[in-house]
Amino acid sequence: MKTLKKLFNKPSHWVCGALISSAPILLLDGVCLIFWGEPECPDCLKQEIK
Amino acid sequence: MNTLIINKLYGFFTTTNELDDLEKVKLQYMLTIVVNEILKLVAMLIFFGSIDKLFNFLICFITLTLIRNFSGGLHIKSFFGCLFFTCSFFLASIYIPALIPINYMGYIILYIFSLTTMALIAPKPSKQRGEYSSYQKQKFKLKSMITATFCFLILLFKMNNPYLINNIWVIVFQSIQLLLSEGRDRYENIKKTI
Repeated sequence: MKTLKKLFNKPSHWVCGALISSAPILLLDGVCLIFWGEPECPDCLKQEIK
Repeated sequence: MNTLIINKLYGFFTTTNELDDLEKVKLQYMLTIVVNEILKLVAMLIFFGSIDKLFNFLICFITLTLIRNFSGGLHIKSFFGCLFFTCSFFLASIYIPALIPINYMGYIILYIFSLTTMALIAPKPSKQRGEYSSYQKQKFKLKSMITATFCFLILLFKMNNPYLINNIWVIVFQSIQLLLSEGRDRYENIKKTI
């Protein structure tokens, strides 16, 4: 179980880092997503647009 | 179901990574977007695969990804409402060209209509995002006009290709949807003043 957890640690860091760092890029590089629904943007990210 | 997946993934990432409050907020936002979009995409791949229109759907999807990212438009609040609207949009783009055969002149008119709509109305950012600067809006407007022009130019070289025709109708419907979005915003402004 411990080795399984260790196996997922590194990919989890990469995926998590990629998701967090791509948040402002997603907002700055386009005005909306592909499909017709979007969650409420948090205030910290709205500040990054400004 | 999507909320369950998002919460599970959020719990997994927050326990395996040391994140501050700001990073947790960004992670939650991105997980919501990624999971919802992937679920919608998978549902549509299954649906269009079952009606033997998978390749048409993929062509329309690529075009929509390019054009909607820069031009924006309407937004639906619920997950299933969004899925239903998106499916309807793609079904219209795939089946309407067969019902309304158009010649060369017709495509020129559709191009002028789409380009004019993008020039006057695009971009229509999501209200959930906040305010973009006028420079950013001009940049997105130009990109949406260039994308529409590029798609129409490709069609000129291969007028009988059904997939390129689907492409064009995606742009036309996106333009119509921009008009609807503009109409809704103006109506809401009038309501506020009254």
